[in-house]
Amino acid sequence: MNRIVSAARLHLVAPWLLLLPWAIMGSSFFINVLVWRLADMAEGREPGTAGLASLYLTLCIVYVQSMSALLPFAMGLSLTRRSFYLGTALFAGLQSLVYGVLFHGLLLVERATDGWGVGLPFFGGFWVVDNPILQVLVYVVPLLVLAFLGMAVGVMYKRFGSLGLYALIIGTILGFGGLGVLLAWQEGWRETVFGFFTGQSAVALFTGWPLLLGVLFAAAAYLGIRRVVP
Amino acid sequence: MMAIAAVREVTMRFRGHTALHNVSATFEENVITGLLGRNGAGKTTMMQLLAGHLVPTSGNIEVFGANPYENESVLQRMSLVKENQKYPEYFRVADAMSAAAMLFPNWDAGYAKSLVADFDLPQKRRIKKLSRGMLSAVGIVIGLASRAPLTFFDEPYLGLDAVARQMFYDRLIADYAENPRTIVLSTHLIEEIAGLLERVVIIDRGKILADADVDDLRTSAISVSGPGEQIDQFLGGRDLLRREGAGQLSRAVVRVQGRDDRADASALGLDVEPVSLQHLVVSLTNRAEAIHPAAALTAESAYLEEASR
Repeated sequence: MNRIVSAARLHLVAPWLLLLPWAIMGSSFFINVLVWRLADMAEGREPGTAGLASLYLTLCIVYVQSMSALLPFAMGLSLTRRSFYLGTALFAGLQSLVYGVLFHGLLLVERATDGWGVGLPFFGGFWVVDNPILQVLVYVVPLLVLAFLGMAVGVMYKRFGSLGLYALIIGTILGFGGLGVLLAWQEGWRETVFGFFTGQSAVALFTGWPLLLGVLFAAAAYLGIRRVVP
Repeated sequence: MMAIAAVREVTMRFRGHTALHNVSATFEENVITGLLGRNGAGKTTMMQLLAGHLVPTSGNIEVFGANPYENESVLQRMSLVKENQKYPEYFRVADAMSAAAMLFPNWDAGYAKSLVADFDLPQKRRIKKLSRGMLSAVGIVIGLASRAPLTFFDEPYLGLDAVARQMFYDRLIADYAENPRTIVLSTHLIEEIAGLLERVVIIDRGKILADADVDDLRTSAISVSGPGEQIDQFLGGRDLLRREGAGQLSRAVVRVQGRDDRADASALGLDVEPVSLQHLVVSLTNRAEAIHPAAALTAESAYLEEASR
């Protein structure tokens, strides 16, 4: 357990890395505020911007690097793969939770200032729910899912190199692309799929289903890391 | 002496080549062992197996009485300094030190600090920006200050100049005297470290050529020099390891067979000298490579079993 906590603390050795996702989101926020002010977007009341996604994607990349760069270093310091993985998962959990609570706080500020004075729904959007705890979860679960996706991709890279990564990307494009083609071709299926997604509540869409995905990524990363050679 | 780490009948195959062929070797407690061999001989593979970084294709690895693979209690007592250790690109020297302090139970921060000063390492500089020699020094500092009961140095001196290498050897031997521990040092700068070593494991093309005390190994062979004809006469029936030079300036490294060797050589007017460790390693390696690989294995292991007794 001690070693797992030490592994989690490894992620704090260069603490500014924690600020990186916020810096990237901050730049997106800044541009959004400018655009909304100049273009007077509030009139149409858009359902929200995807600006917040920039932080989610950055977090994913940070966790790819945790496996590609921090893991070989940690193993050089005689940490087991397992302890490193569990420590990283622990850290990702805490980080997501803190981020989720901060997002919720910022959502409240956003509401109080009527969208930062320009009607910008940056932290709000169609994912807003009434219950504060569920709202935090709606922020936290996708963060966790992307963190574990990053870990799984990072492990894949360590195991199979950049060729493995390209193969994964090509496979994903073909998989999702094929699905898209199928839906474009079969109108009935398309309606079923769209119906399914629009029929889901925000809570199911942002916590329930992603959680399943997250478990899948977490398992893949754990199985893959067992045979990583630093 | 107790073996603290052992590989038993280990074979390690990678895609396309076999790095270790059915290898067995032991590493004794509180001794400095040299793991010697040419580039590509299998030294790094052996250390990665002992550190649980690799899993053998077949055979057993035992460290502190257990399999090191994913074994926290074994690994906590071990430190491996690799020539090609990777560091996160945003890490500074000081970051690497504080990470090491978190993970090594015996870490000595004061000692680490003095080593950083000795090697002139800039604390605030990013590791990525360090010269090759400084990068090696970071590994050396971590390896020494970790004070792990079992410490592996895998060619830790790349890019270090002679002065810095000597500093490494001096610090190593001084700290070893104060805090005895098991140290395994792989290197091909044999001459430089011969004085530090008590035991050697010599490895060539994935096979063990020797696993012996340095003194036993050294006295297992002699070097005779003089005119070629007399050497030919002396060699009759003896086990020649290496022959060099020609005419009046011939030299031969010969396996010691009995008490008469020196007397016989002197009677023929030949000079008899002890063999340096480096010369012996070269002789053994060359001979192993000259003979057919399969034959080399049996002949050499028979000889070396004798030498290590």
